Parts: sequence; structure tokens; C-alpha cells
Amino acid sequence: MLLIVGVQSASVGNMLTEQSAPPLGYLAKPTSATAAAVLVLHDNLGLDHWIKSLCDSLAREGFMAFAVDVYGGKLPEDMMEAHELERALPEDKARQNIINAAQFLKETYKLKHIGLFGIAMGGMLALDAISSHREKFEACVVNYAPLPTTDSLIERLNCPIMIHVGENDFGIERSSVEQFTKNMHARQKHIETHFYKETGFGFLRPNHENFCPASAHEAWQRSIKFLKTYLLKSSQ
Amino acid sequence: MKIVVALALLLSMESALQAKTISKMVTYKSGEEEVSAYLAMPEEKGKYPAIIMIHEWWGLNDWIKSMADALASEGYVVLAVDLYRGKVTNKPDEASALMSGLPKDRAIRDLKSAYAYLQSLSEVNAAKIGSIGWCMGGSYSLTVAKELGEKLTACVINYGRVSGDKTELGTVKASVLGIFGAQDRGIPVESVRAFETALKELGRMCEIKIYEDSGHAFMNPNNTRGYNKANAEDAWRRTIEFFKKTLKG
Repeated sequence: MLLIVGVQSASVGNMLTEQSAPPLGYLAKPTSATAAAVLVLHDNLGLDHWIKSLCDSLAREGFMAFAVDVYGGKLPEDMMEAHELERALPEDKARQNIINAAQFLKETYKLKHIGLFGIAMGGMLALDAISSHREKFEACVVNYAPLPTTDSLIERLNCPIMIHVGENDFGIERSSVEQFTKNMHARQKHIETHFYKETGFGFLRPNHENFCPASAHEAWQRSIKFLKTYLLKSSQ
Repeated sequence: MKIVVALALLLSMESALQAKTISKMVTYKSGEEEVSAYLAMPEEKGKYPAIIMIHEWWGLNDWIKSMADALASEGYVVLAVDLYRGKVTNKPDEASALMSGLPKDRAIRDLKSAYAYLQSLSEVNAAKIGSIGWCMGGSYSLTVAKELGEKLTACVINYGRVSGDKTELGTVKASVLGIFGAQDRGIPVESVRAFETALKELGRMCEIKIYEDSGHAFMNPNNTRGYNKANAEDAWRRTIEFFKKTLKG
């Protein structure tokens, strides 16, 4: 039997420097010992029930899973509030929270490998984290998020990356994703890109109008396989 | 009575001062790509200060174009950039996809290229260039000030992301006008005050106006839930005064 331990919106540690706030978020642990953790970075709708369920699913797959609450405890009630929070997000603080959470998990649970799973806004934060702290992360799943276009930024992305994008995404051009993939390949970087037919922005989220169960299922299976390959198998 | 007459006279003088404008869609180079923008300026030939205008999460819509026309009528060359490359919407779900899908580095390149484009126009006084944006564009207006440093003279932020970090704000050399609503659910008043303090400690000229009874996007008349006419007009008056002082002074 699997045991999922959830710590809802609770501070999970205070080993950090006095200047930085302890990471806030939701932690799900696997029942057996693990050497790997995945940080889940939420979209603009915040750390809600669905994000927690993703952590629980990751724990069932053998990962320590921690959803970082980059909104600092706020949960938007609707799309407009989500927008207000996203537009105002202090990105430097969000980045620090993510790095602190990775450090906390590594030290507290003696983990060897940390990966990232970011959705939309969280995908952008995941790419930002691996770009600014290259040594900390070993795999990154980016779900329909903006991708860097500048050579110097792409050069800094050093861990294996998996991208999921719907072909009908209103904000992300297929050509921009293909160009990013090409740029990564040209630098011999590991990138796996997946497009989903008749699928739009937000397709993973069950309460989003673009939710697409078939694409979401396929993307999730690919993500788990990818994360296991780079975070779990290497620790055996 | 005398006051009313004087006021009416003043208002008629003000409207008489507003110049006729011309406008068109233009394209300019941003790296290897072409970006489109709405360019508005006074009809009368001359050399004018210029303003980079940045749209909300909806994209370059008619309201933003009307704001460009309104600023142009005050004697500015205004370039309202299209960060979304032709896409525009009035649906929150689509706007969310557009904002969430916008690569920040591309947007910054587009805005720096907008500055270079304005500099190249014969109608522009290249020493006097400012920026203005609303919502997401307000955040980018501050980003422009950080990226362009002393090249930018004035920066207006309407309810955009702010920071109280002096290291982050260190490269901002422009004078700043920040307009916010106290009911904004994403930007607490204390963040705005921290921003103001940081800029003032850095020695920057900074004016902050917080409207107690307004929330996010109160200046946009299409925002049926939160438009506040009186505050929007007051904010616009402050904007005009600020640009006059910084770009024409």
C-alpha cells in the first residue's frame, strides 16, 4: 500500500539563511526510500487541488514531490485574479523560493537528484531556474511555456528538457517551439519536444476550458518516463 | 461664476492645444524578425519627444491605439508596439495563453528595437524618449527603463509589476510615474511603497499615485468590472503632466 503524505500550504523547513523566507508548498512523499525529487511549479491559477494531485501522483511513481507556492499562500478565485497575480509576480523572489526548496529537499531527505515540472507560468520559472542554477537540476519538464530565443540563454540550459505544447495553443507558435528545439539540438543539448493535435493552452488542467484528457494522459506518461530516466535510473 | 467661466476658458484652450494627429501601422526590425506597431504623431511637421507604448495582456487593441492617438495629440511621436505579433483578444482565456506564451527575452528585444526605430525617425527628438504601459505592459515599461538605463528619460507604469530591490532597480535612470489601485489583488500597497522608497534612495525622480477605491486595470473603459472614470481621468491628467515635465521640460 502506498502512503501519500501531504503538507498543505505549510512551511517545510527553516534551514535557510535568515534573509530568505522558508519555502512554502505542498509535499508528497513516496512510501519507499527515494533518491529523487521533483519540484512542481504551478500555473497562474496557483497551488490548488489539482497541483497537489500531481504531487501525489509523482509520489506514487517513487518521487519526493514538492509544489512550490510562488504566490505565497494566495489562491486566485478566478482567471482575472490569476492574471493579476501572474502579472505582479516577483520573479526574483519566485526563483529564490524554488532554489531554496531544492536545497531544502536535498539536505533534509538526503536526495541526490532534483528535477522540475513546470506548467505555463511555472514552466517559464522552471527554465529560469535551470538557467540560473545549472548545477542543481538534472531534468526539466516544460508544459506550454514561453521558450527563450536568445543564444546566451539557450546556452545556459544544461539539463535534459522535455516540452509539451498543444498545436492549437493561442499564445505559443509551433514555429517558435521548433526553432527552440533546433537551437538546442545545434548545441548538442538533450531536448524532447511533443506536440499534441487539436489541443490548446492549458490542456493538462481538468478545470481549464481547453482540458484535453487524451493529450493530458499521453503527456503525463511521457513526463513520468522521462523523469524516471534522468532522476531515478541514474541513482540505482 | 467667474471661476466657471475661467475654467471653461481654460478647458477650451487645452483642447485647442491638442494637435491633429496622423497614424499608421508600421513594421520595424527586431533581430532577424519584423515587428508591427501602431505609430501616431502630430500632423504638423516638427521634431517631437517620443514614447514607447506597451499594451495589456489583451494585445494591441483599439483602446491602446486610442491612447496612442491621445498622447500624440499632446505633441509626441508614439509607437505602440505589438509584442504578440498580430494576435489580439478580448477573452481572458486567450489573453492568458498569450501572456503565458510570450518569451520575455523576445519582448525585451522588441522593445529595445522599438527604441532604435524611434531614434531613426526624423520626427523624433532622440534625446527625449519615454515609455508607458498598462498591466503586463506596465511591467514591461519598468523593464524598458532597466534595460535602456540613461537612454530612457521617462517611464510610466500603470499597475505593473514592481520591485523594492535596489540592486534590480539600479540601472533605472529614467524619472518614474507609477499609477496603482489599492484594491489590486496582485500588487499590495506596501510593495508599491517599497518600490517608491528604493527608487528615491537611488536618487531617482519618482511619483507614485495610489487610488484607494480602485483595483487592477481601472483605466480601461472596457473593464466592465473595474473601470473607474474619475480615477482614470485623473491618472491620465497626471500622465500628461509627467511627460510634459520630463520630455518637454
